[in-house]
Amino acid sequence: MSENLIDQLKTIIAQELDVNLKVEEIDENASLFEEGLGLDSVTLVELISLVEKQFNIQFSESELNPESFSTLKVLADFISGKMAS
Amino acid sequence: MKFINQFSNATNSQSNVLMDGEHQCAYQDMPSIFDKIQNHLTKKNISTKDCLAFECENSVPSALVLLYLLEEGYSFLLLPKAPKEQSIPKFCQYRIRTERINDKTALMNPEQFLHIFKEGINEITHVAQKLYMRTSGSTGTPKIAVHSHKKLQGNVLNCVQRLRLNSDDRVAIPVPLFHMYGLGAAFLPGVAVQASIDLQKGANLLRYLPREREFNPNVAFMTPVFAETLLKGRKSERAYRLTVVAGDRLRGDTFTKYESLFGNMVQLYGSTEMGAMTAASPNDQIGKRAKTVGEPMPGVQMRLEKRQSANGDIGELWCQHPYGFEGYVDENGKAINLTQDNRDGWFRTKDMAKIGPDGHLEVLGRCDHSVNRDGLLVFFADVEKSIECLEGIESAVVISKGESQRGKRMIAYCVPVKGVNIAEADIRAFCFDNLPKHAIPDKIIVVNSLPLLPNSKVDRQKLIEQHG
Repeated sequence: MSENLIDQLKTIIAQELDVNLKVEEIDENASLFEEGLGLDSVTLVELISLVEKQFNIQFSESELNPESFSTLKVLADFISGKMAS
Repeated sequence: MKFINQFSNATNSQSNVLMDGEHQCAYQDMPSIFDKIQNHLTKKNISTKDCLAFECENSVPSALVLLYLLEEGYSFLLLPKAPKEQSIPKFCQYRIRTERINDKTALMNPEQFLHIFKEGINEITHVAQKLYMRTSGSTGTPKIAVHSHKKLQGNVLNCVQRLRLNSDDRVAIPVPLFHMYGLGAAFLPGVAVQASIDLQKGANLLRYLPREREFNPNVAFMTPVFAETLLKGRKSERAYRLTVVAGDRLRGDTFTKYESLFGNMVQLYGSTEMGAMTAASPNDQIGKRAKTVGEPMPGVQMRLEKRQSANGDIGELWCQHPYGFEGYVDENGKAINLTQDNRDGWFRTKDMAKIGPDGHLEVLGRCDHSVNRDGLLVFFADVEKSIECLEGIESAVVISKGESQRGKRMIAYCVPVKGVNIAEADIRAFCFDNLPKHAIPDKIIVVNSLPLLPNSKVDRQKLIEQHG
């Protein structure tokens, strides 16, 4: 289940965000931030908004932290947990 | 102390702390850490006769070194911490930087966090108690602005008074200390009243929210773009006593939306050369705070030149500041005289502005070929030169039209070398690899030729009207 989620996240990042990444280039275990994929503040907020829309979930403010968004894999697990509940 | 606790109104502020999410240091513990820093530098034969290049970041160790250098009266250039080695002006004898420390007790051992690198020794006549900062943009000769510590203190006091900072405030600073805004309007004023301060390494919603829960700020300094991302990313309201924004214009209904959720917002206007020129006060009427960057700081004079004929009250803003910089130097420490920008004590801001009948200032935009993006200045010429480095590109012209998520929208028109077929996506990818995020054009358009004016310069106005 999470595998498909990861693919969807990669597609969102490659196609809808203003970054210079192709789906194949995105490592699901890399950091989302400067050290890895390089998403900055503006693109992160876009990603959060697109994820909420696509998967029909709402992040609470306490869930918006670096740990939940550390890598795509972690984020995918987090999202599937939220969708299940 | 010259910079710490100048204007504290409480006797118990000694226990207030500087934090960064990993370390914290109470003001009362600073003198002993300063002694240790002193010992560390003395062992390396470094004294105030030397000029240092200080690579600074938003961390407690960096902040302590910064305060130490100011208190002791060192002359130093303030730089960001770069991942790779960056060029240091020839008039700096040493490059110093702080490294991350895991052990909380290591704050008491500056040898563990303060790294020192010897640069060339140059026979430059040493000037005491100066703060050097590189100015934004790199078109033409790179310039370094020179501030005296004494005048910097004047700038700091202005901000304390105008923003009504006090020792009970808890100040969040997610803007860099190595820029004049973070240093002169946020950090030093906070230190001057001995307020608790939280330093954040980058304005980022995911870092900001957990830090906000832990530190519980009531004052925050940010850029308009960050305020917009906060509005986009969070749903709930939270009371701040004050939020200060600077670095760019507030757009659309950001001000109204922000105030409805987070309380009073004021705009501040300044530059690397001048420090803070104007700021609204928390007590100003909401209409004034929404539309203007406030009144000039005490002693600051402003005037408009080259007024546009259609609207006599708009023109290019010049500023005379009692606590502004002393001038520019180049990488060798030699004074650069720019009489066209710095005349009789009046400084050319290169911003278009409007001064209201009540003296409140409205900043309208740049009048040179540059824009603000993510609160940072981008010169079109820098982007154009960069794109022209791409093989296959003959020439590039950047214009601004409309707005984007980062500030003004930048569009780059690129003319390929004759016979070469180059895709817009490839040019954009090149930009991602060669320019900082905020300088990447929002849109690339490949054209066969550029419209020209009679004097052979590119007709930028025509480009703006044609496309976009």
